[in-house]
Amino acid sequence: MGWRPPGMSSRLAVAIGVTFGALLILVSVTWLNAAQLIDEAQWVDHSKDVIGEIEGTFSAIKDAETGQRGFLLTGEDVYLKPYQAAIAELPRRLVRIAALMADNPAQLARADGFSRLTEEHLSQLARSIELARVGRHDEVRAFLLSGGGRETMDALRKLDTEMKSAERVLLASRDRRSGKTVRTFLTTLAIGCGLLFAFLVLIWYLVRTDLARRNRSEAAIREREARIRHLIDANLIGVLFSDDAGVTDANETFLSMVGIEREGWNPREHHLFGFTAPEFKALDDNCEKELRETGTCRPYQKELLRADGTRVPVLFGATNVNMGGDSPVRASFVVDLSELKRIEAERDRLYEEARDAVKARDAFLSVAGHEIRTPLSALNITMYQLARQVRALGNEKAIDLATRSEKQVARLIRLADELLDVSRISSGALHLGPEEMDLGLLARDVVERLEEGAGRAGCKLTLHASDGVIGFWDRLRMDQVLSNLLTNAMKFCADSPIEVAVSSRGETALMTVTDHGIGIHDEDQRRIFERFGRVVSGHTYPGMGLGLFITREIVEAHGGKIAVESRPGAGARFEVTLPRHMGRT
Amino acid sequence: MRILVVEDDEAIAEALASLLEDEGYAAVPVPDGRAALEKLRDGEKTCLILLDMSMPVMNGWQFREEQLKDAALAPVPVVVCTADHRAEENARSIGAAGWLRKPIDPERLLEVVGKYCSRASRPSSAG
Repeated sequence: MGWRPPGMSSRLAVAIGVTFGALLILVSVTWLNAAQLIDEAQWVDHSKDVIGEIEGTFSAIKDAETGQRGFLLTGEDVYLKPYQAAIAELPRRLVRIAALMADNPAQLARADGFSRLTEEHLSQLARSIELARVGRHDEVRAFLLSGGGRETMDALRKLDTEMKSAERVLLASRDRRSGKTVRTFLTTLAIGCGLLFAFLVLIWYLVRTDLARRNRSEAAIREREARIRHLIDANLIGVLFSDDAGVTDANETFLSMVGIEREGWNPREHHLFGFTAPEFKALDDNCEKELRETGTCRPYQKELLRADGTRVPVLFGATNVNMGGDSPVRASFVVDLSELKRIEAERDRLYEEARDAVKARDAFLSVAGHEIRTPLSALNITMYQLARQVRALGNEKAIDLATRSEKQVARLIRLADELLDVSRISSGALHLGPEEMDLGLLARDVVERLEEGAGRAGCKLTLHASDGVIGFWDRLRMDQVLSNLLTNAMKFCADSPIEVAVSSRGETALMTVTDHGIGIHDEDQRRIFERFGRVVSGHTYPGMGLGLFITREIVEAHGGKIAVESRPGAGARFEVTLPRHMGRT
Repeated sequence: MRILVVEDDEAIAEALASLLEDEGYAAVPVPDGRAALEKLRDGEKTCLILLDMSMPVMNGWQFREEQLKDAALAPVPVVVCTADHRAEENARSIGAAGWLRKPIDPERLLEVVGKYCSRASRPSSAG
């Protein structure tokens, strides 16, 4: 925007430009009109001159004739004075008439005729005077009676009238044209002045608006500067200014950060990057490059060397500030990160501790799981053996006790398995062995296996399995998924049936377990798939709350999804979707 | 014919042997692969080897390798007994006849044993 002075708005510049243009046009038009007016006035004067000259000439001719007649009648020379004056005057007048009519061929022709007749008439007058002077009065009388002089005079009068009439026509036409030009001139001048006035009013308005805006801008700038000054003086962050020659100023926070006393401090002895610890030089070089190329250096972390040789971690950023000088002024901000770094170190330490604790927990779960399972394995076999022995003896009480003990051992084994699975999931060691299998057949096996237990819990199991729901999955883990879902449903079925359905949809297999039991609240539905995500008291319903967590992990490890739909009192529907091939959906 | 129970955990080995004997089978527990090889070479016939995989001295894989090297011992069927989730994979990798995952389901154990061995005596209790 270098075509207008700084601070002037573009609309004001345009208005001034248009006004100057209009003024120029007005002056030009006025000039042309005035020139035309002067020209036309000259032509009017010219016509008047022509008429005056004709009248003067004709009057001189008449004077010459009057003088001649006086002399002829009296013979006194005194009567020849008007004649002689006219003789002396007429040649000059005739030349002037010819000159005045040079632009008009018709008038010029008449003037020629007029001049010739005048010369002829004057010649006749001169001859009669000569005859009278030598006493040949008879010849004079005969000349006068012959009417020769009168005919010439009549012809002259006629030409005089014609020339004057023609010139009067021209005069009238020139007068009209001159009047029209005057009107045009005045109208143009009035319109031009009106427009100029309007433009001047517009300029006045725009100048006033610009001034008001500039005042507002200046007020805003002053306010912004005051805010920046306040920010600098508030000493919340370190601020320093520098140019190519070095630091120009810094606030108290920065000086305190680098351990410098303001008293006796010469900022010019320091360079902007002179406080940086040596190993961060590359970052400073990059900042310098960014400042040169973009005017701003994005914030980065580094360490500053304090006056006592210790270090302070900071966040540093800088930007070029246009202060109107040759050397760019740079404003830099410096945030002390000491406290943040301390907190980060503390956070890292706590994180490490937490991670170690989780690792130790998983290791413990793994070891505990294995260690518990080993005696449980032996106990399981021994319990089975004992139960068979007791059943053979036929003691009802002993049979009941043995059966209950067998169940508790089975439950302990299941809990140990769950702990091991959780430890595997936590350590990322849940390995899958996918093989081609039929999910419908697997569901049939699981339902058959759990049917008796479900019957005892008062839940009738029904299975709807499509043929050939084939895919690549880990057979044991799929067994675990359906067993967990069914075991879960059996806990909450409340003497109502449970439906299992297996089907396929394109590249996806679908497995659902639906019960009509107590249902799950909305807010609990998200939690049930979490570790220890129990939603009802363990005193009422057994389990550690790991089954659905493990189930979800197994499903997701297969690339599938598990979801639940439920309302309190209206049962629950668990839906497992599995890609037929792991890694595909 | 006897069943060789190769298991380093004494409690499990004894429980297995006890159950099998109760069921009328002759069962001999040994603590590792080396002891199993020695037992196999004592001249007595063995109808089945129940083999734990993780054992000290000689583990299940090493035992199987040695067994297969000996033409006299190679035909004796092996059923892998392991707590490893990949029991079936383990069994397949050493060419075993079957697998049982620990904790062993006693009924499934008897079912598997029944395929390869005949009872030496009548079961001590009725099922």
